[in-house]
Amino acid sequence: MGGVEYFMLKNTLGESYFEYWNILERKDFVDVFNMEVCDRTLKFSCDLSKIKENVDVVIISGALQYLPNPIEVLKNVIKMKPQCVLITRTPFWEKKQRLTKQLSWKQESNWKERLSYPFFLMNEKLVMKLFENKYKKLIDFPMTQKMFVTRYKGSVKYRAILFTKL
Amino acid sequence: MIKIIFQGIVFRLPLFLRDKIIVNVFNMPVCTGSYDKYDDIIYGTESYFSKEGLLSELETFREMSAQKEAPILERNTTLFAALSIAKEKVKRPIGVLDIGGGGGGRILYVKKYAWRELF
Repeated sequence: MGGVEYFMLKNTLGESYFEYWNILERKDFVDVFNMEVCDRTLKFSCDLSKIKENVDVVIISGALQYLPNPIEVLKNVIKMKPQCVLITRTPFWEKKQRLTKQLSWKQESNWKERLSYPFFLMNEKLVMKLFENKYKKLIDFPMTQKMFVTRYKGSVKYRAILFTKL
Repeated sequence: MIKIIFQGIVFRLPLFLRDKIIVNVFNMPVCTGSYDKYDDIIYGTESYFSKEGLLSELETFREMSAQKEAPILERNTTLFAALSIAKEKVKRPIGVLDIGGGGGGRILYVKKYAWRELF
């Protein structure tokens, strides 16, 4: 999921379906994207705190685990009071939150021992508590994800969760 | 050997701008001071638009379906559900915030323990 879906959805649902589609990315990317890719609806930003428009849907797909402080990001997202928060391709586990490293990538098996980058494991209960009394969990299903943390493979579960505002 | 894989919206950029992003990527905290050159760059999303890439995606879809876990279709259905619910509630064009949707969060660095000195 991610910004690529915007172009598919725009064609399927029509551009007027959206007031805007704002992609939050790193500043380096935003500078280039705003020059080359944006249109009337598609925007790019690099600072969550500076988004002032109505946010109705928040999509976070395969991104939280790569942020320095994913829990803070979620807290700020909830403060925006969106109608729906969709978290997909995101690993959770039952132990204390920790930073670890991710190994492997899905397509090239011979890279398995050569890929490694920082990766946050979030505690599932802590994340659910953030949404408590404000949102209900409408959809929750496991996802097959071939990217995995080797050392903790058995205890990490990739999930897709849709929260809707109460 | 360092390989970099881009996914997300980056593939829509002209080649020279992708190179600009790659140069900037080297300023990211995770790799500061680690690299001074790269040998190979792969744009993950582009594979979706080649015959081989599409077949690979279909194969992944079949594997996922066989495992009775969430197939790609279900993921997209959930996205449609989120958009529809919000639209029904606000009854106006909706605003979407897509965190990490450009592909920046999913840049993959392929080098054994390239960042280990940071921890």
